[in-house]
Amino acid sequence: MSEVDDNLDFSMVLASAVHDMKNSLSMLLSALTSLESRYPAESDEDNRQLAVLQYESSRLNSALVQLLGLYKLDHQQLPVNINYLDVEDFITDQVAQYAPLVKSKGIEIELNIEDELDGCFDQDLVASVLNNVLGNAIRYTKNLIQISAYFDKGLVIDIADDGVGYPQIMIDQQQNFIKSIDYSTGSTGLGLYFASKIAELHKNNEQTGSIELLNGGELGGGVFRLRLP
Amino acid sequence: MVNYGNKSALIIEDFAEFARSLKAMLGDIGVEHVDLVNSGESAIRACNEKYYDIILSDYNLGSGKNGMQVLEELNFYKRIKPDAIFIMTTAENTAAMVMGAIENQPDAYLTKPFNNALLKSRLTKLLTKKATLKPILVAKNKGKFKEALEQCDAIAEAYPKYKMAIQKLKAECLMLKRQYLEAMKIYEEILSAREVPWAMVGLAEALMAKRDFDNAAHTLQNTIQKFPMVLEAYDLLAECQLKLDQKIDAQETLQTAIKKSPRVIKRQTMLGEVARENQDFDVSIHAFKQTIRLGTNSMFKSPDSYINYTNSVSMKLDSSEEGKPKQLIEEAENYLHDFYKEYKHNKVCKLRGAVAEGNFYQSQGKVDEARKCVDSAKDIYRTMDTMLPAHAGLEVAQGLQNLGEEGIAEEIVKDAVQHNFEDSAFLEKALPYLKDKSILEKGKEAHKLNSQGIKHFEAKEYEKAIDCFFKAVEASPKNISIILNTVQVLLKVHQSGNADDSVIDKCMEFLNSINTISPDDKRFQRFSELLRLTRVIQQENF
Repeated sequence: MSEVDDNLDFSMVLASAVHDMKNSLSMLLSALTSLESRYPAESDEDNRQLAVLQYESSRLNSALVQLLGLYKLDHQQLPVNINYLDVEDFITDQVAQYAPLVKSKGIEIELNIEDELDGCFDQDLVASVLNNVLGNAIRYTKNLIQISAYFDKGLVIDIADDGVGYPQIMIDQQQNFIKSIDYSTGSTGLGLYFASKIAELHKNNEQTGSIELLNGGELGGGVFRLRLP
Repeated sequence: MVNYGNKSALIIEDFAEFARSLKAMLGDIGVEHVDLVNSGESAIRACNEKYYDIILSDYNLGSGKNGMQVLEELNFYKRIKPDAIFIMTTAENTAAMVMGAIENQPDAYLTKPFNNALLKSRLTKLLTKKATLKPILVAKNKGKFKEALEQCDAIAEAYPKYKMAIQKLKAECLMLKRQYLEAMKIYEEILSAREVPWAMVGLAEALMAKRDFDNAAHTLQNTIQKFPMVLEAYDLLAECQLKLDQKIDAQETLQTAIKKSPRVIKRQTMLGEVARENQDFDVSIHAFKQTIRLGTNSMFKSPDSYINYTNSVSMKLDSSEEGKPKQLIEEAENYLHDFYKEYKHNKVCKLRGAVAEGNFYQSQGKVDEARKCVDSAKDIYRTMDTMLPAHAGLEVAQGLQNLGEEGIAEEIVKDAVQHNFEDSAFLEKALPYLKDKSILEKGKEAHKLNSQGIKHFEAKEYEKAIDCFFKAVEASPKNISIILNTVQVLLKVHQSGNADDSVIDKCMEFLNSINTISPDDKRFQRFSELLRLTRVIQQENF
């Protein structure tokens, strides 16, 4: 049996490296928060710099989560833990995570969630998708983000911004962006690919979860739509 | 709104920097009473001293217990208030390692990094939810299931938001009340809308309770196919497969689960036992070795691990045609050494050790050493002042029989059977070793007389009742449960003024006949209570 124990399990190596990096990120972020409370930003420039630190560290975090997630997905080791969740509770948690960044950037987040809406999904996995999408929305929006959640043959979550929207080519060829990782497009492709894989892990009867990119919506910018049956 | 000023919190975190930053976050939220500990062991001590409202534990706590083991232990000893919240923090996504048993889940996982806005958002929701569900949780915790069920209905009506959580609690209470059909209805209703792991596992447990192992196994296989990380489903499936006499399948199921999550003593023990029955001694030895290793930090540390391991090694040595593997023998000697060191003050363990060691020598053909162990085992047995626990008794008897000591083995099995008559799972295992089947007949007769006695008692036919009870004890004089039942009813008859004082003397006599009951026995508390009552009545009469 000992040869089994001695074998280098790459997913364990990756997991423990990611674990260490995330611990470091935690420390960075909490040091940042405590610095900020002791020395509040005095100028727009301070706010801008603060936002860079907050945004880039959360992006780094998303990337790490995706990296580990995709590796595990590829090796059929990604656990899916489906449970009933209150959608409003879930979404407000995700928004709270971005509170400092949203504050530094002076962005408003509007929630539009049907009353007593519950969904059935894996909290962690869907949180990592929303985290990534919300991060992008914060980056590309002018000053408003709207998150809507409603029931339409399953749970639908829309994240809309008032920025310039997705490039037309992404809208037109979204299946290509979603279905494969095009290395020339960089991280955007990775995020969408990850999001669609997570959505597909959610199945109910004959339906499978999916993602969709739209432009326009009420705010006139980009809309990311997540469907979880 | 949640008042954080009057809440107390415990942070369990081995990473000092992070612990401090968590404490600062809680301070910002308004929680002033915050204690910090850096290991699972110190967390248990802290929780033994006081009850916290909020516990934040890291999953990964270095070399000692992990966060899941801490939670398991706190739940087991009821050191968490029913309305307290336990949050597990992890740096990784809630991966394979944190998927524990469904009834042993933290209230939430928080994946690092998180900020205080998220922490506050999560805490407020959980504290509000727990405060709302408190009447159900408290009643359930006290074992007042009827009240808990009533509260479920009332609260579900007022707070539809918690409908699912309440349905789950309701089904759990029904299971505990043994109303399996009712529980099954809830699970099936939920599953008709969609497949959720807890309802699938719940349905399987209800089916198992109804002894419908075929359908339970089917449900569990479906669960595993849809949610391969729900490890509880594998354990339950293996249990069903054993009941269906599919031992090879059971071993395979357990091995699959262990590949995903090896650090569970119960699972490794089960694998060790099944593999031994399948004559797959290498797998069995490895599994039992894991149970010894895993026991180091755990409340589930048990002498069984060592004995099981040694016995599997002996069986392998017995069965192996080629030479005796030297390395294995040395390893087993070391473990036996550890065992004696660890349990040197425990007479039952010393007896079990001597028998296991005797077999270990015999399997190597060392007749003289084996002989010495047998003699020492016999000495220890003759001077035992407490009864052997059921399974230890059977194990020692099997071992002695294997060493050619049929007489004493038979005596021990007979005692064990008589002492543990109501434990049907045990009886099933012990029967093949019991030659004198007449005690079974007598035991059955005793139970019949016992229930007749209760009927007479209820019909207020006290003389007939007393007569039945005396005859029951006469039929099966070492049957602990019969004696306890008898004494309990006799005391009631006496208290109602329908029996003379000689009944009390008889009670004392019966209780004295089983006063070697082991303090580890489940029935010890009942025994002590009856003994105390009998003494009080005796003194009053005196």
